[in-house]
Amino acid sequence: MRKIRILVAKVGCDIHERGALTMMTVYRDAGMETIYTGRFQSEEGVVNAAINENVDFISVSDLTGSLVIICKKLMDGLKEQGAENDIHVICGGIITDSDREQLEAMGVLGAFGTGYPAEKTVEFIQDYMKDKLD
Amino acid sequence: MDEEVPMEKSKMQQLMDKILSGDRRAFAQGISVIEDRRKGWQELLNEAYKNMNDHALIIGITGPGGAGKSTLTDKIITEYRKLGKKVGVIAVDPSSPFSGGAVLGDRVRMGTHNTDANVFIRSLGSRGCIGGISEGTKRVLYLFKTFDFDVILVESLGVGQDETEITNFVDVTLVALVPGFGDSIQMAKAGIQEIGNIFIVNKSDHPDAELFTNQLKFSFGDMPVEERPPIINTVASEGKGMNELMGAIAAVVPNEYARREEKARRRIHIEIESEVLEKVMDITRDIIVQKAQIVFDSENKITPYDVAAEMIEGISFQEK
Repeated sequence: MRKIRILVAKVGCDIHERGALTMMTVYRDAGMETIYTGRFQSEEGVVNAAINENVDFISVSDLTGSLVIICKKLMDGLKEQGAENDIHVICGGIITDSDREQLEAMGVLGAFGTGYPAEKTVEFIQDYMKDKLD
Repeated sequence: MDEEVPMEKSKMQQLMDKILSGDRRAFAQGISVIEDRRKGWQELLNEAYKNMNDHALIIGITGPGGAGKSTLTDKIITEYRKLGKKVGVIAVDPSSPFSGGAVLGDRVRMGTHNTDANVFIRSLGSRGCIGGISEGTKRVLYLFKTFDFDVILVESLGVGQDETEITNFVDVTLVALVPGFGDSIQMAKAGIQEIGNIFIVNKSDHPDAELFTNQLKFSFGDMPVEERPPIINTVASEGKGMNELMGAIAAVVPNEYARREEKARRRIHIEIESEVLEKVMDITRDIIVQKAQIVFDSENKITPYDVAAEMIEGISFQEK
């Protein structure tokens, strides 16, 4: 049976792990397979992990306000490996309005700020994957 | 997928060709095809079976949850990378029986290898299989054997009892234990002693470690001295005892390589058996639900055994 696979990632020296850990259990309870990279990863490492695990989504969490920088590198990395159409990026954490615009422009599928209901994120993912599960 | 290929090759054959050429992404996708049983998975599995090679040393790591299997795996990867070996890892974690989802956290301990192109780590959910080695894992392992790894590590879901099947799929089985997990009675229970080529007492900086190691040693007391498996004390998080462990692995390898044919025979047997049983279960699932209702409604006038006997009579085997 096809399952949605998600890589929960944390990049750089952000220590705030609660959001990532919470999303992991939320994804699990929604019947998805969640893989966690652990903290302090590089963008290159996250892209490699995503490709090896053949995930549908990278769900990157960051609370230092660096999501634009991180996501840019992730998107570039995925493009370099030719995986940008199969592996999508969503992010959560501290996101300003201008961040959101930039994230959208670079092709990040969803940007969910702090306080956004976790169930809505799950709905978003399930909705997106609806026709892609065979 | 690329379109400009000769018509005679099927999609799965093309994927297999890519995997054989060393394409990591195709390999990762192939694993998903087999694991999820996507369209054409049986064809890919057959291709993998035909194309696998015996080059890689396969090491299984099992033991109870929390014993430090992932951390040990991480350190073993590091040791093999020092020797320049290309390493593949299958890390299995439990799936939730309720949601079907899973948190696959083994990678967290192996984060340092994410940027290493010569290490391929794949996390699998157990998807309903408790203990030992799941159908999915076995099948994925065949695919791993087509990729040119020097070493394949299989970190299996450790329950600690009756998981002898894993030994037939790997060359060397490591059993990771920690002090504080049961006493000599647990040791005396059948199951775990038989499968390990090497026993690891991890977290050996724990105060009870010496006592535990001794109990473990005593539990092999009835075996001839030369047949007793080595017991290695490690503190995996600090990398202590890794040299001893690598030495012990190297020492048992020749002996286990000599058993490869025997294991291959048993594997074939197991595979045919489980394929057939799976099919039978698929066919009978709905009927059993109906029959169970009949038994229940009869208020024990009809027994489950009557029903089973009746069903078994209905199965006919055609001999060719």
